[in-house]
Amino acid sequence: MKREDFYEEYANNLEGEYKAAYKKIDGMLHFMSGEFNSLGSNMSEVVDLLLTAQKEEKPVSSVLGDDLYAFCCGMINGTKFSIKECVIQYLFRLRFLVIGFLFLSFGDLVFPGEGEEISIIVVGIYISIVYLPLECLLSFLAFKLGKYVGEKGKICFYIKMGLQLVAWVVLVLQFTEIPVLMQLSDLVPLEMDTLLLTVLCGFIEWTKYQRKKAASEEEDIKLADLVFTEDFDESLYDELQKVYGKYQKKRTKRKKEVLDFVSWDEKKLKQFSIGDKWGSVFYCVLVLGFLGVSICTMEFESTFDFIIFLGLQIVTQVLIWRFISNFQKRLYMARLKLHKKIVEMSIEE
Amino acid sequence: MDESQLLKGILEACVLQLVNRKETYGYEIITALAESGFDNIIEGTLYPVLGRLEKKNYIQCRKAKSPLGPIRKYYSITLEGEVALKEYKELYKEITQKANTLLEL
Repeated sequence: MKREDFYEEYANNLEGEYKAAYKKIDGMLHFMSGEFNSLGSNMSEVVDLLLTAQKEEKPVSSVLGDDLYAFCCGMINGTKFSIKECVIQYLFRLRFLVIGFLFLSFGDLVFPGEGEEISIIVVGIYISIVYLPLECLLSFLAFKLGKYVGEKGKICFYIKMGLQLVAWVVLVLQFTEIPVLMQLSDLVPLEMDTLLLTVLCGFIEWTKYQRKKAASEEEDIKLADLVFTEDFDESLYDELQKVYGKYQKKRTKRKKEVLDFVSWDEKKLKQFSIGDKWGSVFYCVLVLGFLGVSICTMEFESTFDFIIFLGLQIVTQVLIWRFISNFQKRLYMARLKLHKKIVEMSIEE
Repeated sequence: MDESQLLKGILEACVLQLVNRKETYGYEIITALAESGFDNIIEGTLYPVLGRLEKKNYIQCRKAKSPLGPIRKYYSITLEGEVALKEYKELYKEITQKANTLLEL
């Protein structure tokens, strides 16, 4: 846990309007925590501003202004994505890859010497280059397909998941050494090099488009066309209401206390944020476990390969994440907008 | 006329000047700007400016515990920032002179 993450402890010293402003901003900024966690850093800054204002008996509006939503948007825009933060982001994302990696190693152990031997380093380089672009490309493709079909939300999500599953099966088949799967891999029409080049070309085109868009709207980010969800409006809110309905029914059935819509949504997002943090911890434990086991069993060659594998992953992924950080900011702004909408709608009701 | 549009470029120079005086932090910058009459620029304006300056490498940020407890961001100017501030000032002088003549001020 970072030092900035302890802001809640100091926020307990806030009183009256300062406390109320803190709660509002905390709720709003939680929507930008997501996978990449800049929440602690920004909230620490907010708590410091409020505590100082309280001490000097200045009104909240003198430090945060009259529009807290505008203040939060400004904070997101001003967030700098440092290398360290990108590494954290990478750690979170990579935990699934490590599982895949262990799966491949398992195949190696169970069927030693079967088929052509492929170095772990080659697998590392390949997955490093392909993983993220592939995911971005698939998200884009899924959205476009979802739009074509005429329904967003669920259909779009299922298409993305389906495409991702197919892509991962293709990726695993390229390298797997389990005999049955090796036979299946012959059915994949694309050679590894062709697939790699196709994905890279697609990724370059996509990032060009994103950068062009970002440059034209540098100061005035349009919230409406974010994260491939071009109409970020009522439909998303309705979708959430449906999920909330299911939650309500379940809780009532179990005779448990039901949270109101806003609190439920805030709680849900806080849980996601906690999940992200533990995801990174889980990944670190896996890595250390793997290193420990390989050292204990004297498989130094394998340990060395694994270290190079991780090094390459960090270098490539961090570079890619730095490259698409504007896209990340848009995602946070979208979340913030959704939260504003939820609060507004609940007040109207 | 929308004041914020006119302020956009100038504010960057003003914040850079404040950071140039001494190592400073968010609250101090807000207070100093308010004392100079820029009291309506807080909402969503200051942090993007700080972010931009940091991105351009004109200022650098250090995180340390504030006397009240939470982690505070302290900003200081870089060598590149000092050069940029000098250029800002010269450019500002030149532009205002031209504009003053044209606007008959």
